Amino acid sequence: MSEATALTLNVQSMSDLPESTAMHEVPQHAWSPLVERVRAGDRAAMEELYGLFSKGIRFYLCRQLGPQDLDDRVHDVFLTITQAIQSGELREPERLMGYVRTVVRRQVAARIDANVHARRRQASLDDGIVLRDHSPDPERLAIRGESIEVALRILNSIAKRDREVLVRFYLNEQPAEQICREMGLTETQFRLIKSRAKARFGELGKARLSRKVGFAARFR
Amino acid sequence: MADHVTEEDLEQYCLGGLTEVRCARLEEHLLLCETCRDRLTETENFVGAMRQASRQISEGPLKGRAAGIVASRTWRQSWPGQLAPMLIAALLLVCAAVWFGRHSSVPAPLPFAVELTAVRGAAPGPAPAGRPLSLELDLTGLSDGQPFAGEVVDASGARVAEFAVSASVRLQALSPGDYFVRIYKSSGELLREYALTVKR
Repeated sequence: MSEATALTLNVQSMSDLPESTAMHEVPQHAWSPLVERVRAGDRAAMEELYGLFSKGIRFYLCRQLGPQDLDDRVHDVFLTITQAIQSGELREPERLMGYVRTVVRRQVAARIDANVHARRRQASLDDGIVLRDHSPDPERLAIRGESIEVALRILNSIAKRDREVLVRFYLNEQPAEQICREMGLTETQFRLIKSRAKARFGELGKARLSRKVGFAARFR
Repeated sequence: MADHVTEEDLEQYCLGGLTEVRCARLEEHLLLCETCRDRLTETENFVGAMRQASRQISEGPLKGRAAGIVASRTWRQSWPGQLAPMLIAALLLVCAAVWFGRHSSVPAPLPFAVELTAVRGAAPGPAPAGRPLSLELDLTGLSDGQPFAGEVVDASGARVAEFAVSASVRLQALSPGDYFVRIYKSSGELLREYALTVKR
């Protein structure tokens, strides 16, 4: 994640999304024609399928398994999907999205399973075990630290009652209904407290980023 | 499919609180929608920071960097007015320590918080041996429609602990070594595995 992505928080509620993106950005797909073309071995259809799903699959796999061998994994998923389509395994073409999701999830589970078994074999051969270092890199640590500092500033600056709401929800993971019931809040008040905190988080994040950019520019 | 994911659903997804059906719908949408993928990253950053900051605040003013700064500022601003309550608090602490020294043979160490995240490349540093652990599990993407089982295994795969899965799990102290924390579906399917190193 780049610093810009992490700090430039574009906090938007659904109603805040620009009209162009709010309802029309993700096109409706009729999957049957595409599936039929892939089934028939149409190369352009396969490219279209890849173009539609590759970023989403990459995003999911990277979140779950990390960036290692990402291209190979995305390729494996596509191979599985196209083979399934061509062999007629995908019986309901309109369920293509669900099928893609299932294949990706299976890929993740299989990878975890393979890691577990590899480790078992390794453990039976060796006295010790080598763990890959998953520690966050310094950039990521710094970004995380900054985000936490911003969140702390927000929590320290708001009313005690609002803070309690946020702590209950984000730390103790109490359901919204329970928080509202126990603290005598309406659903709207509850949402407002959260959305204000989010908006403030976004503003402070942006302000910090612009200060940093300005500071860096002075030394260029 | 054209509708974007709501903020509530993104938050619940990060907190592992979506039902299986809603989780599936959201993940299918994310496969195609770059806007919502970006929003998920932002939400995840916000939820993670809020959670960490809330923990620091809940653990009291002596813990946590920023909370510490706040405490020291408050001290500089009005230390004479706060001296009496602080002295009383210190006295109470001493009394409590003496009482515990007499009534318990081994003082119970505070649990050490370990945050286990599903995002690879963000695993925690080593946890200390000999202290109970408070595992903060990242349940992002797991739906709440079914119970999950958790276990801790050592490097050879031998089970050393079992627990019911929730966002925060208390574990007994572990001896030094490499461990793996796993989350299973009730059907036995392995869903998550996190590495955990315990050092002396």
